[in-house]
Amino acid sequence: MHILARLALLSVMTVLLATGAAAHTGVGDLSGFVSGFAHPLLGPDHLIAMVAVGMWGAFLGPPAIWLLPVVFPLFMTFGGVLGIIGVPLPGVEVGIATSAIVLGAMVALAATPPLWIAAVLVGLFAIFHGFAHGAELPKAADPVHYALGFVTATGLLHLLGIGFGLLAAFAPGRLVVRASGAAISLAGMFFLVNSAS
Amino acid sequence: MRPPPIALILPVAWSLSAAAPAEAHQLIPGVGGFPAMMLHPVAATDHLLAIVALGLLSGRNASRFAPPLLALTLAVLGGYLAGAIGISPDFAELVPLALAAICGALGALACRLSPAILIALATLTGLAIGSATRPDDPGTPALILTGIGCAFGAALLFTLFAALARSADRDWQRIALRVAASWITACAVLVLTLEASRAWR
Repeated sequence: MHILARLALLSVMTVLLATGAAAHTGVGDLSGFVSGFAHPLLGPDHLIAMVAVGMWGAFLGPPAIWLLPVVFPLFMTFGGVLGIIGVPLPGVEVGIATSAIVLGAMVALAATPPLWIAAVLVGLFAIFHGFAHGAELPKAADPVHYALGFVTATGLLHLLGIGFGLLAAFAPGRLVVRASGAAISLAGMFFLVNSAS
Repeated sequence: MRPPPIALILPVAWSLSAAAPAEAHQLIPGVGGFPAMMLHPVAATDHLLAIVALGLLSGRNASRFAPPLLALTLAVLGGYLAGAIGISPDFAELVPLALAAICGALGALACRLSPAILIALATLTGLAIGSATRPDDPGTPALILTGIGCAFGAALLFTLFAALARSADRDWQRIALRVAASWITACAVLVLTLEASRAWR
């Protein structure tokens, strides 16, 4: 990568990370970039599902590797809009847990459906995740930074999943990735049982 | 247009990064006049998102991004002066976010745009940012100076991100730009919806 691009990329990251540090803080927990950034990270059901999206994208290879992380935030936005305007969406927690089960299973089974099916599946689950984030947004004192935080964290979790999923290019790595997919699926079942009880 | 030299990029990136913790839509404590307005497009996150989205879009689309840069710069100055004399709609604060959502979506979808459309988007973005920026000193000399500062800051930020997008020559770099554009759209649409729902209620 050209050094200019590296510098600019570094400045982008710094700007994004620095912006929330002191912006509109002191008004409660649900404010600013850091709170938004922490939201997907502190919810283990969100976290494993996001990582699974990236892992599955890496498993499927191009163009899914970039299509899924672009599809997800766009559909997540739709879910977020529903959450903000208060449209009832039944079974949000069940949907989030199911996303971990299904996406983890896709990785575990090394499933390679047609791209449009993968995109629809990921988009569908993104709506549930977006709804959960969006429902929190009206409580945020600084919605711009909060939204920027959780969208960025979601994207970085996808990136983490992609990085981990690329291990599947090697035979032992493929086994590790598939085993991790199975673990995510099992964890999703645990969350599903918890949400039902 | 050739990307600016590293000697220019580095201090710009440094100053932008250092300025970021300031509160959005408020002048930076202890800093006034020209420097404050130059940093305003960075300090106001909605303005930052609009310029970043426009810069990424222009860098990927235009072989020469000087025309949209010029349009943006002049429009920010024009919008700022218009806003200062009261020619600014009530919803001016939300327009930069709406344009960020549009430019981000176009970038995420990797749309090929004509130079005329890019110039139009740059002009709208500049007018929106300029008119949504409130001067701290309404006096004429200070107004012109701070207006130039605001336009200069927006131009630097645009150049930085357009250069970044233009230098992305590998597949994964282009993908990363599209992902970043989709993040901007997601963030902007959510906040716009929130504002709209608050206004509705």
